[in-house]
Amino acid sequence: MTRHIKLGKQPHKLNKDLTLLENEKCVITTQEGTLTLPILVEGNTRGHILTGKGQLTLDAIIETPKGAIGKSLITDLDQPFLMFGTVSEISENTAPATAQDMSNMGYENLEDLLVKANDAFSQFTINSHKHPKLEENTQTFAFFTPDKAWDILVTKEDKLIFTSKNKVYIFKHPTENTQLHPQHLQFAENGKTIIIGKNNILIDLDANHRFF
Amino acid sequence: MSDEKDLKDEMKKLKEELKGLKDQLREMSHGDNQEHEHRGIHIDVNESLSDYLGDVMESVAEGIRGELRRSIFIGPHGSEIKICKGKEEEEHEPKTKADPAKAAAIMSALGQEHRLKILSELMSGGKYISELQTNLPEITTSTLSSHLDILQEAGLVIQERVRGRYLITIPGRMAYKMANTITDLRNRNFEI
Repeated sequence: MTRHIKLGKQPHKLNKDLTLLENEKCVITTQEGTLTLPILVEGNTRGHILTGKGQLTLDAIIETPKGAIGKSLITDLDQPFLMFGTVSEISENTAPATAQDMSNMGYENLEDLLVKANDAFSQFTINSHKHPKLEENTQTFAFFTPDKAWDILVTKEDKLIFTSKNKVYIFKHPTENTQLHPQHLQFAENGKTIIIGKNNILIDLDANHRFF
Repeated sequence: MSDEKDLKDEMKKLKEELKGLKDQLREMSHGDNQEHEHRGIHIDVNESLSDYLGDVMESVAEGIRGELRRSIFIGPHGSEIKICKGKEEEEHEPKTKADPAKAAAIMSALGQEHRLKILSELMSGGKYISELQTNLPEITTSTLSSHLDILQEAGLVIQERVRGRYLITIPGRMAYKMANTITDLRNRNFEI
């Protein structure tokens, strides 16, 4: 079934700093004054496009019995990014944006904002993401990167998946009730590397290398 | 003919011995898993198992080599039997020689007693700085931070930005093991 997804035209601004996501691996924050436009699915708000100031902190580190691999990413969110999932917190903490609010975030006027937001939104939908995760308890973020690509982050319950360029990180948070045995498997062939560590997996589609 | 038969018998015996050891190990590891699941902790079975099996294979290979030497004439350029470990256990062989300056910087990070103690602590898993302080009371807080910075700079340790834990990296584990191996070999030489 094809869903009708489009961007709303009434911008709002955040009244205060908000933490959009926080868990053991990732924190996404946005600052007061950030502009938002609703993403409408069949007429209902199911997400937002946000543009302003914020930060993504992600520990893209895989723990294996042979040692840790990866790095921590800290990215300033100064480009429009998309968020699907829980929308109530944003809706409850915004007010209609004024021309001054748009100017503060570097937009000439409403039209300028809408053109740039729609451009980012259409880039996202064109790039095979026409069906973002809209399940219960699932949050999806899409960050437009300087090299015209999208980094996608999906969280559901205790799981987190992050894809960036040709790398896919899959994390599962250990809980008290979960007995996880440290296992590792490395497969490097045909230009792909897969590392399965403790509660997490790294798939590198662009590297045929061995780490251990 | 008699030599050949002896060799075959010996190989058969060794194979049976290896099978027995493997079965025994399988039982042991299975038993360990069950026990630890019950207690709610885990151990690194994979690594110890593969290391142990590697040693067993090497000892079997040595046995076969010995028998061959006794039974069959092998000239100065004769074949040598090699038991290769699986791909996963292959030694990491660098394709190029390391830049001596970079290698020296890494070795310098490793060459400090307190930093080796920090690596030793991290070998058992990621730790917060407070845990390192508790476990290494002989290192002051400011010195501990400084050591961690040096280890991070050398790529031997990495810090999570969200939780703040310190983790030992793959090169870090290799470096720590290398330091231990060299020290162990040196100690053995002194004993001899």
